[in-house]
Amino acid sequence: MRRETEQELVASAQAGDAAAFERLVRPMESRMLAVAAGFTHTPDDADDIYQDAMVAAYRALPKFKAESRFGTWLHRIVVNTALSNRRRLQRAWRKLAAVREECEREELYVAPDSPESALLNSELSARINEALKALTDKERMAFVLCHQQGFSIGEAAEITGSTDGAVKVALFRAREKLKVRLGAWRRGRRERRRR
Amino acid sequence: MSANGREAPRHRVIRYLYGGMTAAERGEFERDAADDPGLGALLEDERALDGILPRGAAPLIAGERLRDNRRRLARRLRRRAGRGPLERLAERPLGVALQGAALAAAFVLGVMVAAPGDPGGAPASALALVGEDDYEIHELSLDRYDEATGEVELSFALASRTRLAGNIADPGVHRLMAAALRDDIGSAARLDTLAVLRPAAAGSAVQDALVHVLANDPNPGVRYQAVRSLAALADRESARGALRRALREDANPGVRIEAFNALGGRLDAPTLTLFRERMEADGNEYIRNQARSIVEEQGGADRVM
Repeated sequence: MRRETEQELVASAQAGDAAAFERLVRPMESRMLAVAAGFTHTPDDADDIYQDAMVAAYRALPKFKAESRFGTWLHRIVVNTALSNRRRLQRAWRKLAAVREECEREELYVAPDSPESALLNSELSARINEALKALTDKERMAFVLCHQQGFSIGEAAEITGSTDGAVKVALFRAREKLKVRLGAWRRGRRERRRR
Repeated sequence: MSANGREAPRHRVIRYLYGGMTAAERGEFERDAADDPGLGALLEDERALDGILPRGAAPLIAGERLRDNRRRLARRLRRRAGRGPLERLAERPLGVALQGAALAAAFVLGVMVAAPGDPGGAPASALALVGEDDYEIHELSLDRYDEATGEVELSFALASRTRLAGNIADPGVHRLMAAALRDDIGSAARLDTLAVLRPAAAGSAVQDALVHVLANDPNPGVRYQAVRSLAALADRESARGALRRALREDANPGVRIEAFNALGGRLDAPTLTLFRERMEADGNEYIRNQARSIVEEQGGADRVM
């Protein structure tokens, strides 16, 4: 059976074919969910962001022009949705601060090349989640796209509508903050082991 | 860039780490880092972070979560698109719409309660293959309804859950599992499937599926398992083609290293040409160094098969 090209699927989806849109999105969904997850406190929030972003993309699809790559365009929508929802969710989380520890489920981090079989240990995952909270929106965008998802600096700039220089600066600052937080955790862990 | 037009060392390090340099710039940077203790220390400092939080480490998106999201999105999109069967029927003249809606509802209800093996038309016999709770109907539409005769034509996509008991030595099982790798079965299931299929990788259906996975799977861990299975078939040109493409194009250095090592065991002209290219262009230091060493050892193409 012939597989439809991306162009054909975009055309069908633009004409309102939801199934075509799903087929179009499917090869990228895992990555986009992971991008959304890079911006949130909990998996549930990330799932909501992903859902909202996909519906927004479906609605905006008639405006999509082949000038940019579909994947880049879709990632841009995920990032924008994540940022706007994140601010809203942060407000909600502050209100829920009293019960947060009891109800919060966090993302588990997984090392590249070895998906479910080699989860980074839950303590490190918790530290990563905590450390990422210290990043500004721009730093987080740069870090999630370049470090976690492997986009080049140029691609990240295209997705975020920014410049290469701005991405580099944000990436450097993000790494500085993470070095401080994760480095302190690692040193403390080594000392505890020595005792 | 600084005021004097030179790029700040920390920005150079970031460009180096995140693939923002050309091969020539990378070579120059590596020489500078070796000669300049300050730049070298900056690079080591950054690499320490990658030791704790490796590049590519990202939130785990398990298969079940992916499927839940897919189902949820499908429902939202159908609602948004107004493509549900009842909404479509609502656009028809009222009398037909109501009868059509009643029919559609009755049909769905009917198949929901139909006993396995229930005699009847094609849909009922198809549904007899699965248990009552094991299927979902998607994208149902009423294609034709003849008010006078009561004849109705419906089209729908049926997602079913079926249990298969077989032996892994059975080619039919191979073909089924190989076909599943091209579909969307979740990362964990794809990894399990690849592990089970590894001894059967020499079969053409499995090899084709491995080639497809290596070229298309979004999950680097899954591609890594595929490249390891294909490495065992590196004496076949069809597998070598896929390995060469992975070495040239895969974003993940682990996948590229496996492809590189598999290809290096049996050099041919296209591979040596590719190694010449990768010894300059690859983002991974190991591949660049090893490729250079092999190319230099060969002293050109004279000893290549």
